[in-house]
Amino acid sequence: MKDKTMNIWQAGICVFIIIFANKILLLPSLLYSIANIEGMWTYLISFIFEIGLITLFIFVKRKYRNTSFAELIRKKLGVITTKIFYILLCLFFFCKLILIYNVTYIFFKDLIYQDSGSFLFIICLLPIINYLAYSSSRVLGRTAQLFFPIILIVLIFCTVTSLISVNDMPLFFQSSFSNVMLAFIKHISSFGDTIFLFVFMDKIEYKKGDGKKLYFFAGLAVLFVLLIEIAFYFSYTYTSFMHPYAIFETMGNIKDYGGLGRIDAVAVILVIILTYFQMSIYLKSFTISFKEIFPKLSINYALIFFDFLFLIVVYLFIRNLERTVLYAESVLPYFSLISFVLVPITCIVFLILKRKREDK
Amino acid sequence: MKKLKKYLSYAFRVPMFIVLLFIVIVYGLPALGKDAKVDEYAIVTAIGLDKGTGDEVDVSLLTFVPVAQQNFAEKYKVVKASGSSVLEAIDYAGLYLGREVGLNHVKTVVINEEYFNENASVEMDYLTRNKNLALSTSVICTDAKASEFLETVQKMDTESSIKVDDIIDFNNKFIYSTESTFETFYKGLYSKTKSSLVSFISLSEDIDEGVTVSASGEGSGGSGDTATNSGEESQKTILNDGKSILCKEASKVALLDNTGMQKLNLAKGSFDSGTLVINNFTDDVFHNARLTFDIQNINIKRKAQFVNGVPVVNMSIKLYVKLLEAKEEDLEIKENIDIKNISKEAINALENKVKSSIKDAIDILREYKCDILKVYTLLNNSHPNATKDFMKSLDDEQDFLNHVIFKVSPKIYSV
Amino acid sequence: MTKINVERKIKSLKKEMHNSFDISDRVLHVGNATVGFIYLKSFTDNLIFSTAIYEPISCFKGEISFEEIKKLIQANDIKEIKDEEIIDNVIKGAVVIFISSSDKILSVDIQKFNTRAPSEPPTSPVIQGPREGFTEDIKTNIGLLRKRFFSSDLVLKNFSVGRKTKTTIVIAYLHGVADKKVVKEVEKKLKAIDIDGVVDSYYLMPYLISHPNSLFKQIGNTEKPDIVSAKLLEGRVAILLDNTPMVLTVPFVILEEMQNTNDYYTNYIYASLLRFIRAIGVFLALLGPGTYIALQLFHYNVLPIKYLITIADSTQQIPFTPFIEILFISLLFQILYEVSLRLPSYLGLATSVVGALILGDTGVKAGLISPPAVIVVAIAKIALYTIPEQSAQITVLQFVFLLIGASVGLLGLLGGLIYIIAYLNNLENFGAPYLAPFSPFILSDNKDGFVRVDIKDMKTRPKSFKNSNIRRQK
Repeated sequence: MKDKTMNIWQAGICVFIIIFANKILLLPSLLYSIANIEGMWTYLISFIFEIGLITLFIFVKRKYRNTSFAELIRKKLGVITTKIFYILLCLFFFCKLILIYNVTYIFFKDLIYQDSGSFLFIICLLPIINYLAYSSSRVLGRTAQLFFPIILIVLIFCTVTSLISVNDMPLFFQSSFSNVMLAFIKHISSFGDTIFLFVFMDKIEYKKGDGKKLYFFAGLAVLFVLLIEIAFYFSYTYTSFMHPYAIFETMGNIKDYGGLGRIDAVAVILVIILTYFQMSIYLKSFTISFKEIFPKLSINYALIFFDFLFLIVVYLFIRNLERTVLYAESVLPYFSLISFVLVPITCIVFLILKRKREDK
Repeated sequence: MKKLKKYLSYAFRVPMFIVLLFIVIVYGLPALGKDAKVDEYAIVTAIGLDKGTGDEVDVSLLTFVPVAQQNFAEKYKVVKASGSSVLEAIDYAGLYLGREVGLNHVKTVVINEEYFNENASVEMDYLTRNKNLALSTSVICTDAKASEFLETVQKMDTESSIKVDDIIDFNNKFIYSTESTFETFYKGLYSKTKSSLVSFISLSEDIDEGVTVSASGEGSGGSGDTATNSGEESQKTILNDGKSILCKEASKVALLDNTGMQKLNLAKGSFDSGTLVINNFTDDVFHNARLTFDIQNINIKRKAQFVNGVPVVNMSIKLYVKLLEAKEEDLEIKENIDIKNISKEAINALENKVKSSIKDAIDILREYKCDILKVYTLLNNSHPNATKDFMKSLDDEQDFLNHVIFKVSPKIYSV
Repeated sequence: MTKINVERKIKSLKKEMHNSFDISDRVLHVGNATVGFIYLKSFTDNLIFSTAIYEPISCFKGEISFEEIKKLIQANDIKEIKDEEIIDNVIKGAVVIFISSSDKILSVDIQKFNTRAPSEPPTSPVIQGPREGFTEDIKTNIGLLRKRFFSSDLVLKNFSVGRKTKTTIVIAYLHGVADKKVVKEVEKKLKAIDIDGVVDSYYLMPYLISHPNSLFKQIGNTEKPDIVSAKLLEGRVAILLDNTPMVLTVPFVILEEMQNTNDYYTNYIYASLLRFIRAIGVFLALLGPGTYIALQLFHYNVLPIKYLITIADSTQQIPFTPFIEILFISLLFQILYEVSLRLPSYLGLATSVVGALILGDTGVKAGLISPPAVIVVAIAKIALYTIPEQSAQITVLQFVFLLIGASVGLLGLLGGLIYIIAYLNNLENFGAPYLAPFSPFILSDNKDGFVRVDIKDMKTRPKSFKNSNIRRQK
């Protein structure tokens, strides 16, 4: 049964949401320890890649309107290559899911769920993301579209309140470019999220001129992320390493606002909603990739397989912040090569081949 | 069996129903017997740190005590405990209270002066790491015992509804005091000269001394509890007279009184309200008068430049003032005071006053090698290479302020 | 021409109808012919029978024929029927006439039963605007609809459903506006119903919707002809059923629940404000108690100290845990509501006083319940009725969110909300997404969404579902 498609607005909103994955909590302080305030440039470099990925997606989608990425690879490079490709993608998405889960779990545990175990988080997160991944892309897109105004309003609120507390202008270019690149490479796993567009390729309706909408949403997300990072680095400068929850802690500079209490709780709600959708998008990408590897198995098997593997990894291997960071710095970067190297090269090859055929 | 399978198949059509059932059984049923968190945690609104015997630390917690009542009066008690570390002491306090200690609502941390004689950040480490404490938590230093301070605060709150948090909030805006939170403390500690300002509030037994907020002496109301300081009636009062301590590397180097703070704040430009006084002023209208001006607004622009390798900081200060009080014997005012601008002589006198105040402030900072005005940041941001060379040329980098030339040009405007 | 034995015919018909006591028959000999009448005396207008049918025939002099009878009868609805249609016609209040000299059968509709006058339905009171409501008589209802459309574009198609009840259903739609595929689909689904009897329009709902087991309403229903007319003008199809004032409309989107008749008969700015308040009411009702209990059990650190003090002081002497307390109060409110629905009106005042005293005052003073919990639940229960049509669904969800909030806290509440939204996004009936025009976002339809623009600015019909002609006005 063909999966129902999402329109370009919904795809853009998914891009908006996914760009926030992992970037507004732990990452700023991790980057600071390598590249000081120049950690900001790491974001800019990564966003250039993200925009590049989106551009490639638009070009490929324009040329191959109703084809999925898997079909493309199968036609040009064969079945086995497709399966290898999608195995790597599956692993990539699985690893990203583990990373997002761990970072946000620690965030929630520290701030709002002091004495709750990890099973509570799993029982809240897993069923919802499973349901969203099981539903059609259209349902995922529409649900994200409905929550988008809430996300946007809360994000504007968080960004503005964070920027209000900025009073210092730190000095840039204190750290060398090599440190910036080192920070980028070490934490490359936190970037390259827009690769999901390729997996969703045949599930996104695309008409002429729709590329601008994708750029708009990506640009908006990039702007917000950069503003939050600016607020973070400008507020803390030398003490940035002490604050592992960027978006939450920049808002903490505001005291009790008119008796409303800790308004930084709003950041927690934002992170919860973003986490659900980010994990759903990744899980959906995982299931689509799984189905390409095992076409005869239904999506239920993909979800069951994921759930078991997820529980095993989360309970046995990656249980605290230190191991999460270790895992993010040591293992994940290799999988991130798929989004920064493999997919772009493959797309460029397809485009060149298409061009040659058209020229003939 | 067939029927069971049939019903199960109905249920499995909606897996979320199974999930909900699971959540309700596993978590919902225990929740039926779960108490509210406010009954499991002791709500602490202020923490006090004192030096105990040996290496021990005495922690006092101003804890809210829930009482079954309809008039919603707040009842607090002070719980004291000792331990080899702050966390251990807090754990013991929890033991006394029979609850876990919840630090989410802490607004004030009171630290005894003794800690600032060494390195206060050592003892503050737990409070910094604890994510429950907001960065905007106020930090104050006191010469009295922090526990006594909290007891006085508790009585003051009970009897007069004046909260120490309100006093500290006001300090943030007033010219005689300073903003003093975890954030400002650590920002100063991690700056070039590792200097910060911390509010200083003492206790006084003399209710006539300076500016005090008093509470009538009644018992603190914690009968039978070995942890509370019951029995002894304290007559002490809070003395908030605008003092602050100047810290370098988290230890006290100087105690600035309200006049010193006024001068420093004029140089920083970070206050919302304050006054300026000129003594023995004479012009066409006044003769040997004491004029008090209210500062409505202050705007400071600082520009750094290097002249022959010497840093020069130009401070352009715009002060908007209004004459609110003129004290002179036999003063005769014939014109409407609201429409009369202050005279040129008064403006000159004010400008001289501002200049001399800022000069005094800079002298204090030079003396203690504390860069509260963030001069280094200004120099580094505008001329990073020249600043680097300049700092290299110094014997003692911490003493760089002594080699910086300040040019202050105040402008007074009448409102 | 075949001659029939009228008496025998009547006897066999009576036997087929199990000799019900209200079956009446008359036999008249007119000339050489015998004329037989069979009808239900409980369901026909005896006066019309006597004066317009029986008397003219009995007074006829000469040889009466079938055609003569047709001319003599002074009634409107006369038709020839087949043998197999006799019982159906008799059951539906017609008098069936036989003549011995012909095998043709005549049916004259003289149906009469007591029906109430169109009055304001209790479920949809209005401050301004029409107060007519549908009744149980389908003819009256059709009349109410017809008088709003003096145009031949209003198409009505009828058929019956129910093996025993043979209830009349009428599908109404505007030709050139409603989508033909939707009309065909509705017709097909209704004709496929194979059931003993249909008592109310609610019986038809499971056959029309794609998710019959869902908690959520997937078909619009109303008792007001002006609402049905407005929906027909938007391109919807109305389904009228005999013996019920409730008219169904398809396709249905949840936006219809946000819209109230009063919104269209008042200033659009005020109407927009009311819609926002309704939306806030829904959120309060859904998430209020759940959030309160989640904050108490998991996230006390979010509450400001003043509220914490209020809650802590109020709950000190309460013997119940917070969850049990809230459940207890919610159940009490629900019981009170159920009681007030079924009590006679003269007892209603006493119940409200007792309820208010027990819940509001005595319970708190006795230390059984705390004031903050009462306030939270009371606000949630009252806010429930900002959209009374969805009160059933919101009540169920309120309990669900309460359970989730007490079990797992804020994470579960937001996850539950996301799930509900995703589930609703999955619902689609007759090509209309359930959450349209919010999801998918349709800008033009949002002119009548959370805000209502002026009527002259609503130039197009809703794009949330298909219709044949998008333009409403220039």
